[in-house]
Amino acid sequence: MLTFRGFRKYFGDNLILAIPELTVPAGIHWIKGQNGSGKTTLFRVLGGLIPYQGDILLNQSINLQAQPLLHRRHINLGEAAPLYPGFLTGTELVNLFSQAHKAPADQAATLIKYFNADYLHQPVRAYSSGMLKKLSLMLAFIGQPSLILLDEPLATLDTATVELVYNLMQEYNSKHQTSFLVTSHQDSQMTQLPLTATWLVQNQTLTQLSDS
Amino acid sequence: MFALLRIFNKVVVQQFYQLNAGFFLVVFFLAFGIQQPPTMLVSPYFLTGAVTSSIFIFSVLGVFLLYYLKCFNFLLKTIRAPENEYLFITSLFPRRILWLSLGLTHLQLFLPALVYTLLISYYGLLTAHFWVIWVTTTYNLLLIFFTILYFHHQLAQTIPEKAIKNIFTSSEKRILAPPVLWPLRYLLRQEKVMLGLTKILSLGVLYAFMTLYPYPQYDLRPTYIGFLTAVITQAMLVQQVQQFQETALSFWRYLPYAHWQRFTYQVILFTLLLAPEIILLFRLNFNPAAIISLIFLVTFGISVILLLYTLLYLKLNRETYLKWVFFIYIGLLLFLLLHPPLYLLTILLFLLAYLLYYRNYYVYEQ
Repeated sequence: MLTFRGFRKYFGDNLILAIPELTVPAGIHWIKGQNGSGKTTLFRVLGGLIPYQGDILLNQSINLQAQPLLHRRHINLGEAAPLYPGFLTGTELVNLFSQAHKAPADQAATLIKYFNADYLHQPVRAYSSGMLKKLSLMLAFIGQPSLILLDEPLATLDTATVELVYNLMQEYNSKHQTSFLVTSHQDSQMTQLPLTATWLVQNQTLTQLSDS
Repeated sequence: MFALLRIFNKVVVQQFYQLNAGFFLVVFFLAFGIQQPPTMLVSPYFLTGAVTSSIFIFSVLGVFLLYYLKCFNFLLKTIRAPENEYLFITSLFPRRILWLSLGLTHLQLFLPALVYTLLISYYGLLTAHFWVIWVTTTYNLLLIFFTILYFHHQLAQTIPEKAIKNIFTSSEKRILAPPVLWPLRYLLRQEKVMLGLTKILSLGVLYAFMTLYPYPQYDLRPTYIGFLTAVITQAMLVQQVQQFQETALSFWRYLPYAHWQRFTYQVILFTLLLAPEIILLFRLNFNPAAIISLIFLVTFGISVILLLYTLLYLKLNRETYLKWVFFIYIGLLLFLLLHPPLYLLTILLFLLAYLLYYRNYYVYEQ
C-alpha cells in the first residue's frame, strides 16, 4: 500500500525521520512510539501537511509529493490535536469536507447519526475536547479514501465512542478495503482491533514489530 | 512590581511593536515620506500654525482615538488569549501596583501618539493657546484611566458568558458561509480593529488621491497611484489571512483541491477584501470613458495583492516581507508614472503570483 524510498524529514538541520526503503501493506496498522519519537510528524507528512525529501508511493501508483491532488483524494487524516476556527460550526466543516471529497450524498448524515453528534450546529469554540475529537474523526471518515491516518484517535473519547470507532474502522476495511494507520498509547484497547501489523517509530525510523 | 511590569512588557509591549512594525512603517511613510518639509507634521512651522485650529486638534485626537482602539484591542486580545490565562494571577497584586503596571503598559503602547500630543501641547504653550494643553491633557488622562479601570476589571474577573455566546450571528453566517470566505469571517470577528483601521487608511488614501488631484477624468495616474497605495496598505491584513489559513485552516492542506482551484479561491477572497476600495473607485470616477481603464486597474490591484500573498510562501520573516512589500510598492509606483500598458503588467503579476504559489504552497512549512 505505502512504499517509502529514501524518505527523510528534517526540522531545520535536525533529522526527525529517515526511512530508506520500506513497504507497508494494506490493512490496519498500529504505529507505536514514545512521545517525541516522530509519529505525528510521520502522519503530518503522509497527510500532506508538511513537505519531505524522497518518495512515498501509495498503491505503487500515486507519488504523494508529485501528485498532491490524488494524494489528498486518497488519504484522509484525523489529527491528534485537531484545530478549527472557533467561529465555525461542525456542520460547516462537515459540508466542506463532503464537497471537497465528493462524498456520497448520505454519508455525512449517516456519520453524524452514527456518532450521535447532535451538537454540530454549534460553533466549534463551544465543544469539549471529546466533541472536537469526534468531529475530527467524522471528517477523517468522509469520502472514499484508500488510507485513513488516525493520530491518537482514542485520546479523550469515552468507551462507547471508542467502540464505535473500532466498528467503523473494521467496516471501512472490509467493505471499501480502506487501510488504516493508527497511533495510540492505549495498548490494551488497540489489541481489540484485527491488526495487520504493529510498527515502532524509534531511533528516527520506522520498523516493523510484528505481524498479526 | 518589577516582576509584573516585566511580564506585561514581554507579553504585551514587545509583541505589540513586533507585530505592528509594518503598520508603523506605512504610517511613518505616509506621514513623513511624502510630505514637503514646511507641511511636515512635526515641523515647527506647521505646528505653530496648526495649533491655532481647533479642527486640526480634534482631527488629531480623532486619529489617535483610532490608534488607541488598536492598542486597546491588542491588550484585550492578549489577556484573553488561551496561552495567557495565567495572567488572572495579576489580580492578586495590590491594586496600586496593578494600576501602576497597567498605566505604564498603556503609556508604552500609546507612546507614539502621546509624544505627538505633548508636542502639540508645547506649541500650544508657545503660542498661548492654553486650551490645547487642557484638551490634550484631559484626553490622555481619560484614556489612561479608562485603560486602567477596564483592564483591572478584566483581570479580576472571568470572561463574561456573553463573549462566548455572542460569537455567532445569522447574517454573517449567511453572507460569509462559503468556505472560501472564512478568512473574511476571521477578520470580521477577531481582527475587527485591524480590518477597520486598514480600511479607513486605504479608503482615506484613495479618496485623497482621487479628489485632491485635478482632472481625475483626464489623467488617471493619481487614481492609479491611489489605488495601488490602497492595495499595498492591505499587506498586514494579507499576512493575517495567510497566518490564519496556515494555522486554524491548516486542514485545507489535506483536502483534494488542485493548485488552480486553491489559487482561484484566493482570487475570490482578495477581490472581496478589496470590495470597499473597488466600490469607492467606481463611485468617485464613474465615467464611461474611463471604465475599461478602471476595470484594468482593479484586476491590477488584485494581482498585486495576490503577489503579496504568495510572497509569504517564500518563508520570509516579517521584516523581509515588509521590505519586499515596500520595494514592490516603489517599483510599481514608478512604473505606473510611466503610464505602461496596465493589462500587460497585470498578466505578468498574475503569472508571477501563480508561479510562486504553485512552486511553494506544498513545500511551505511554518
